[in-house]
Amino acid sequence: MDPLTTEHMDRLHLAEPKVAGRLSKELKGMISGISPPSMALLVEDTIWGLSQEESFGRAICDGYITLLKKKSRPPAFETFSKLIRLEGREGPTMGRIMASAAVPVLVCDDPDILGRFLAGFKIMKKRGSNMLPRPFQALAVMLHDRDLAAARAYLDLLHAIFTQCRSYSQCRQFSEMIPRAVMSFPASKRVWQTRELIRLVRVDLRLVDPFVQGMDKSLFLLTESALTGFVSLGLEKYPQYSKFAGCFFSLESRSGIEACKKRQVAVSLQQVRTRLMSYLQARTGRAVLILPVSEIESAGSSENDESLTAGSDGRAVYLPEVIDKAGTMRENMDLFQCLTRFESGYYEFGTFDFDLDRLADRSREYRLDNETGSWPGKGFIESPKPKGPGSDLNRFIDTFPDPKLAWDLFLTFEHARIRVCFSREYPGLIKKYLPLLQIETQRMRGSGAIRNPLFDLYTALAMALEVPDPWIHDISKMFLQHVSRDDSVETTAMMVLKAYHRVEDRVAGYHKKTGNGFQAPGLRVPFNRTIFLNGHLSHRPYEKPARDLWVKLRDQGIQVYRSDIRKTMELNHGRLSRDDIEAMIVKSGHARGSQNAVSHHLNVDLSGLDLSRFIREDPFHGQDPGAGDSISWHREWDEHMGDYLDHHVRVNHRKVSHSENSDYWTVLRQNQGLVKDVRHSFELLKPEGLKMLRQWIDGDEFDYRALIDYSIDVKSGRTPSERLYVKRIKQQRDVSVLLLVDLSRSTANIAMGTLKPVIHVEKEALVLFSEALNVVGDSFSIAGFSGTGRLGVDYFLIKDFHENLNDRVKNRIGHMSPQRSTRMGAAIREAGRHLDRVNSKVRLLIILGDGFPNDTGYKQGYAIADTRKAISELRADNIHVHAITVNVVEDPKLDQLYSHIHHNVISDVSELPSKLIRIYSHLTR
Amino acid sequence: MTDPNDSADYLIKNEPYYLNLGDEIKLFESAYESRLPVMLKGPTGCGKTRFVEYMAYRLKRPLITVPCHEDLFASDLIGRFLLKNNETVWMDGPLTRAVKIGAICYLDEIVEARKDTTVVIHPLSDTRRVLNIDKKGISIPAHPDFMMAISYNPGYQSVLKDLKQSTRQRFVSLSFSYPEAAKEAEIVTHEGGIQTDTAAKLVKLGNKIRNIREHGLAEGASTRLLIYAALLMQQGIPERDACRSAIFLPLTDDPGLLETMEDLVEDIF
Repeated sequence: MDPLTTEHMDRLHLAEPKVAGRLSKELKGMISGISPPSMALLVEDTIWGLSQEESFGRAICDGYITLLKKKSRPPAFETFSKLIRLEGREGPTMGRIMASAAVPVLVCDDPDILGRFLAGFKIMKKRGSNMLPRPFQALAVMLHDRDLAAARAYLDLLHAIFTQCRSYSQCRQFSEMIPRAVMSFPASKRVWQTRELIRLVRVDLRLVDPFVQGMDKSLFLLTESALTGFVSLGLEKYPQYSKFAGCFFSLESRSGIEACKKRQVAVSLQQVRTRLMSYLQARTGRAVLILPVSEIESAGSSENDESLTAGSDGRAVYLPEVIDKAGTMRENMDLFQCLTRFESGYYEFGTFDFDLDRLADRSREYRLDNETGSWPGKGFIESPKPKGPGSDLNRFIDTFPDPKLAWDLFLTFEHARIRVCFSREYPGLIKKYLPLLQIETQRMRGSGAIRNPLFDLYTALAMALEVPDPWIHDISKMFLQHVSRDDSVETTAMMVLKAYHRVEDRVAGYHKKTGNGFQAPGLRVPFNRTIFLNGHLSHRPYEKPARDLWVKLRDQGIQVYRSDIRKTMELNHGRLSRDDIEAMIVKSGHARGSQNAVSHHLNVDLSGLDLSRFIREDPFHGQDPGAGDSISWHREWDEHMGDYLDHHVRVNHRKVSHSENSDYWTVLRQNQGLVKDVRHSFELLKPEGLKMLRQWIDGDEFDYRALIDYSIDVKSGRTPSERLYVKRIKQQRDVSVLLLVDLSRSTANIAMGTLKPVIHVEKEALVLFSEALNVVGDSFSIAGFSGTGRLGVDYFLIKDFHENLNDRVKNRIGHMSPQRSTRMGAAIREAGRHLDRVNSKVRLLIILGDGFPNDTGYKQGYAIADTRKAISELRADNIHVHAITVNVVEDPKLDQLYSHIHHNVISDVSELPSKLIRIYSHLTR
Repeated sequence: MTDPNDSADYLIKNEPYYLNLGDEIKLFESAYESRLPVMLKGPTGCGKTRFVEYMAYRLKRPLITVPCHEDLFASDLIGRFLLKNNETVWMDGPLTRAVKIGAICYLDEIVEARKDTTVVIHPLSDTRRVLNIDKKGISIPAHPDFMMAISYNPGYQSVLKDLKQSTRQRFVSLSFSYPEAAKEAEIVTHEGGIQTDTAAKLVKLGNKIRNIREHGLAEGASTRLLIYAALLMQQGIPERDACRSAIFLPLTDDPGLLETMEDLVEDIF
């Protein structure tokens, strides 16, 4: 450090030793150092800042350090000094904000951005210093990523908004919302999506929030031109329908939804996830999740970040969040379907069930020496000892000198094996979807970017495309011979062992020079499809118990495959019965060393073995959990897992007070006219009871009047009628209905267009409904539900099927009141349990609610998926479900929840009583 | 009245096609030898009725089948008075006829019948082996070769439609399920008159659909539905259309599940 710098440091040390110490430390780590004028400026400004407020001085020092680290030019120092001095004069807070916000702008060294930044800062600070930090933090992120175009657009947006925005609260709201919204736009689309937002801001600030909501829903799927078209259409309509423009941009209006749909090309995973999961369930017979690929950390490490990535880890199939590669929505949908289908092959054809023991049973040469971690007779493999227990697949790959090459080779043969299995089992799939992969392969080959001989092998084997190369031809021939004999995953491993040496020689000429020496080029496959090995390990909860059981059985001389134990446990959610174990035992004569070993199972008496630690039968088997208790347990559908969470929700059966109150009778009095009409119309629905049909050809008894006529006809020589019997037909409305009423907190809200709370109108509807059903004679029950959390769902039985409509029931209706949240799925399942006990031809559940399900850990998509599932369970049990939603405007999500043919929306809740009756009579006519 | 010589009308003349799946034939024969009534349990369309027909042919016994429904009264089983030549004459119902001629009486889907109706079979299905006819005030001892067989599907019935214990505990029970893939393909080939490989694809489709049985489907695709699809294909209907009409639409109205099934058929064919 030169003397001048030392002098400056000493001055700073006197002012604030900690700041000086930190600066000194930072300067020592810098190679280029700092020029004396810059050092003078730094120390002067820092001391000046410290003199005003300690944090301001620190912020100045930090700013200079960052500028130094980023090797900013001297003018940047001067500008920084000028800016902090300028703002610092208005107070240390403003100075500190500028010291933080200006640094990234100066580092990027773009005068245009600096100009826009200063203009924006000037406007925003007029609205208050609180507005500044959040928006400029987002700007710093964009500048750090060198996304200058997006930064420009973003600064323009801030300028446009804060120029128009006047009220403090509105400015505050925008300062929170805008950075969050813009950062949620994908980097590749951020510029033009921000530009469209600016267009709206210039017309009406109130359109910002709806547009951001619309982006969260489906607008993010539009291409640049499509989004421009959509915004233009909305703005065209704006002068005429300014009131409804918000609904258009937030995709709450039908015209908005249709305009978006018409322009949509990209497909999001969210849109197709349910369909793909249902498909996977059918194909594999197990719950395989579909998750966005962003959930796998290593997925981002692909060489080509632009290309799609898909993969599997033994628990889930990972797919891109959005596919917009193709020009039409149909083609993008096909790509989702294609990737899902090929990924399903890992699960259906046992990729994750790879077992070293099974491989060893094929031949001695494939038996891994556990001590040395090498293969007998394969001298060329000088492998390290496998690290840790791991899965068999990990262990297998680790035994090769170049595990990465072995892995690429494994992936090549495995994709080829699955293609061969598909060709045999699913010719339609291969015909439709293999060409999509082949086109991508050809595109990759045509681009000339891939110079890896392994890719040629992949092209020939996995993609079934012609590659005129003798060595590839030889390996292909050998592969097809082996796989035609045995198409299990162990054949893939065997092929890796056989071909490794040849491929290693081939790839050697293409090694890339790296800092550590030479490295083989990694294999890139179409859409970067892969197997995530780490995930495969971490999501195998039954790996250890399977190993323990395997060891115990092996010690007794009983051979089973660990992969079989693990697979059975996975399929049965960890349960294993003695029968399961017996079925897995491998016939001893075909054990190790036998060339043609296959799994011939043999019954072995296990009664002498203590397997109690491993055997776990279904704890609820044969029991009705909670039967006869005041609670019951229900499962819940976990959308993310794609499976049920067994016995997850506790439903408490709450008693409702039946102490006297006059609500029921008051409602009756107030609606006298309506009650009379309802009773009359329901009288018409009432059947006539047992009907006797006379003069039937066939029947239970003679109709004696017809017999007399018969006799007279015979005596008078006329041809008698054959209709001599009576038949009794029981004509009855065999309908049972359960009315399930949402008693969530929101029912305390005032109903639109009335002065009454929603619950009050619901009660009115219940009174009329009860009166009507009492007339018609249908068996009916009324229940309410609410609660908090999965262990606290409350089910209030107001009237059971067997109860008469007595005063106690009427008092209970009067006592109904708003409670807490809405965990709808469990309430529906509980109602289904009650309906299941009723012996009626028609069983109907009517859900009366005022919105969407919502509870702790039970929100939005998850809650909707579980509710849908609960409804479909009831429908599968022949219970009809109909929903009536009140006090909300029509929302397309309700169609998603109940399906459009099974629900009604009554926006004006005062119409509920009359409409409920009409809907019911229509449903049961 | 029933003429014992009428039994020829109920004999099955041509051998019905039935593929033995396990030891069910042996069990049924043993039950017959001991004159024990038999209950067949299994999902719809898995071959229960065909099995009874086959056994009747094999044992050379007449077979009288009564499909049960909720309007089935005791008189429908036992019989009623008819008018003939100016006289009232008794006409035996199918059960009485079977008791007299020593037939196998097969009550299909017994749980669909009213509970008071099913009680009439009780004295016939225990050691008494008699049929009481209240309207005539008589009891008829069963023919030595008479046998009672009933069937029901425990899968989709609610607990209320379950058989009463007093009925259940009178029967030897045989459990049926969908046959394993190779055997089911053989059945579909034979019954549907299509090539074995097409039948194998249909069976694969059926098995995949059975995987979503508890995910919205009340029942899996039955062997009968697969045979229907095969028959449509044999008539030249394209595979996808045949599967949609014969399998998917009878199974569900749910658009999501229909989509999944369409996806499967597209892959398999």
